[in-house]
Amino acid sequence: MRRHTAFYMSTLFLLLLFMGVLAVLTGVFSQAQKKSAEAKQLTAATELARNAAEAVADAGSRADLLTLLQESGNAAMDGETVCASYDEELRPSAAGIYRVSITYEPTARIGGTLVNSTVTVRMGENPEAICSLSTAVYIRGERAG
Amino acid sequence: MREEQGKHLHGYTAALLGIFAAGFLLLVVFGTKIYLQTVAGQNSNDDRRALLTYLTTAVRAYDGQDAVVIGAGPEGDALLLRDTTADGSYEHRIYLYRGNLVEEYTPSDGALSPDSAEILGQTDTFTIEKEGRTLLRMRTEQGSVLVHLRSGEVG
Repeated sequence: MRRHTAFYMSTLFLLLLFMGVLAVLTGVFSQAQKKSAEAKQLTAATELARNAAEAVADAGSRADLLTLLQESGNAAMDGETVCASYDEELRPSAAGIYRVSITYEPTARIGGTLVNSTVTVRMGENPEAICSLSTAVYIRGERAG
Repeated sequence: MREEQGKHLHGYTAALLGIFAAGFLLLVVFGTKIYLQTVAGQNSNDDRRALLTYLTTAVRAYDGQDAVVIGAGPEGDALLLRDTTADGSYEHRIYLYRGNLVEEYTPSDGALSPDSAEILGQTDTFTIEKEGRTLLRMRTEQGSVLVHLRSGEVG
């Protein structure tokens, strides 16, 4: 009887250990899946931010920038910030999950205007940025607004 | 009594084995699914970055007066990057051909030779549009990329 009890106890311990290992490995796999999803979002966000920075380089003014990003009603002004939305496939969409906000701050310099801009990409209503970059462009002669 | 205990023990051992086997099986199935998803995601991210970054880098490398031209390829648009040297004029051409984005470097007056062109990557679409003052938008199946030309010239 004692021998059987010892057997039951050791198998029970083994079972608990096995459950623990399963829980740890499942947790590791879940983390891997989460990191993979984050990597996909980061790749998409980097592409959107890079494209927005190129648009800033081309735009002569805030209104120009809005026009450049405007496709299917996805871009709008939010105060002094230009905001554009893109769906999961990075297609312009007013109801898109990726929100790109671009600040456009012109400063008069000798012989032209220096425009500082910060591009921030967020996911949906999440206030935390997926990625953010700062860029600057010098517009010779004319005044950017 | 002893026989009954033995049966009980056998049943217990078999149940334990079943739990272990089922646990391992579930773990392997779950792990395989996650692994496949992760690899597919990684490949998709790599493809997206590789092709679009290559296009951006190529345009940047040739960005100069009359050097970046939108031409016609065998299956749509072709990106023609002109390289004028003392020996003559050459073109780095990037275009779509049979489900691949291909490139070739050839004299400007030569015809396209897609069969001998180098494959850059797979895509079913490749379009180039001029946007704004000096912006070039290139679209592939993996996404689209904007390039601002410092030279301010798109042919």
